[in-house]
Amino acid sequence: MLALHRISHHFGGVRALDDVTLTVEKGGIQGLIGPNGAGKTTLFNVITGLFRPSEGTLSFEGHNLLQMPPHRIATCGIARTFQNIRLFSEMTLIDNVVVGMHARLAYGTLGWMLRTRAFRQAEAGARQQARQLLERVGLAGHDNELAGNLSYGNQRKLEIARALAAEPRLLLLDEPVAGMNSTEKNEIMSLVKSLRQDHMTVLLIEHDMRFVMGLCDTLAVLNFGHVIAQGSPAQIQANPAVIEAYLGQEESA
Amino acid sequence: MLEQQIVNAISLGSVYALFALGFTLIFGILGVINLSHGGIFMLGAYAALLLLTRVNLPFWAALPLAMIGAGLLGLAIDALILKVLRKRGAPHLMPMIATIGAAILMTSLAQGLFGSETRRFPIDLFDQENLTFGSISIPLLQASITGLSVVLMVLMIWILRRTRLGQALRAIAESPRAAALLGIPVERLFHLTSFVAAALGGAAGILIGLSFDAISPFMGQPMLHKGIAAIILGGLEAVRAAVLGGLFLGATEVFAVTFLSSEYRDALSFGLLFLVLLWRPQGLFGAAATRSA
Repeated sequence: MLALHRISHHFGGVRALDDVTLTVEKGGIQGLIGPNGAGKTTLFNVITGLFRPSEGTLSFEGHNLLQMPPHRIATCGIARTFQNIRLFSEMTLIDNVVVGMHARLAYGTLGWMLRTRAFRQAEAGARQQARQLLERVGLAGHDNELAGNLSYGNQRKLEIARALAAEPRLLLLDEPVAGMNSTEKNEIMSLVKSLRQDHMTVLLIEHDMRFVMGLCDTLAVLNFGHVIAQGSPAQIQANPAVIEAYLGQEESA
Repeated sequence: MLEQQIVNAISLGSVYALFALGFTLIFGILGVINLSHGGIFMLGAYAALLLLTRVNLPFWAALPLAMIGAGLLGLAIDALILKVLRKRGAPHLMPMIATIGAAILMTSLAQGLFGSETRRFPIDLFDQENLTFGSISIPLLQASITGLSVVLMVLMIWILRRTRLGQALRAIAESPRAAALLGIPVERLFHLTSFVAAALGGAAGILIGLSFDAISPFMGQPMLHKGIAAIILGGLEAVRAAVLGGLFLGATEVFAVTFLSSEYRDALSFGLLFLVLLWRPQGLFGAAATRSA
């Protein structure tokens, strides 16, 4: 469904991504792991159109993403969360989620000006749906709190709810459980598993190995901008190149 | 007497608020300090003057047409200057300097086209009637100026607070990048914001031209200073700050003229600005919050 072919991206002289070829198959949960600075978030930024790669091709369900600005890519059915949370902190929880629906709800100018019946129904439906999403990520009953007042773990949950509001076919999660306690991690794990039943495809970056190994169907490992291994969690855990990459990091740390 | 001055303060303050609202929309949503807003304000007044005197349109038709003209000018500044700088990821100082250039261009263009002397709107635009409420009598002109500013401001606040479009704009104000990734067409809404902000600025120019019975190529610069003062006085909290700060500044000026003398008007209002910056940098009405937009 998503295919990256020979993608390279430079920052000045640094090759953040170097000849990356990667495919994401429909319906699975794929993990992207690697040491800090390996280029994982850069890869997400390339997929979502924030960075234009220096070389390579990138397609999603037949669309050439390299021709599209970020908001068009979003309307194609790709949603994401951020490693450093980017909520609208001065908006309420429910408004944050409703904003996430922009990708699929066209807002006709005349509709909101005249407050037509159809518009008001769509608006009420959107809020109802937003409430269900908040419930699904475990934030029920906080609808009208400001997002900025949430705890760190809850902000991550809200970001996921906002991304789900777009009803994406491909969901990119950038370190979804960073900073969470183990109870919260388990909640997110079962939430992501439930997305599989909704036929959503997930690509996630995460450093928590228990989370990654317990959740992902396939893994890709990135190191210094290269894909050094791909395969099932068991294959990756036994891969010498991967072990070296991680041990090397520990030495230098 | 005092009632009359309060009416004057509200009338002047509401136009300042209208001007500051357009200025703050650009600042809040595009993250740009648009120093050409005063130029747009001035050309808005001239556009209305031309439509009234050359085309002989009635006021109710000239006002929206001049606002559209001012809006298109704002759109052009966004498309020709700000967008280019955005694409290049230019630092904040660059759009500021570029819009100073645009403002100077507009002023000298107006001097060349219309001359440097002060012009006036036709005298018979509004009946010389007064609206009387108890002991207060309000000239129809002043009532119309206040009414128009208030209607435009309430409409803008309603759009920002209560509509899907406003929600998208508030999302962009907090993070254009996150908004784009949620499918919000950020560039298109930047253009729309530039258009609307400039249209409000143009409307303020027309209303100030009516209020002081004077239009000149140089009216934009002092107004720009007042607009900036208004949003700082209010607290840089976008819409509410602009409105409250504008009203407060209007009141200060009117009462300075009433109780001191007109020479001290600007000294008092800008002196007050310094005091606010020293003792209450979050503004008179602002919470002690910082904006990221």
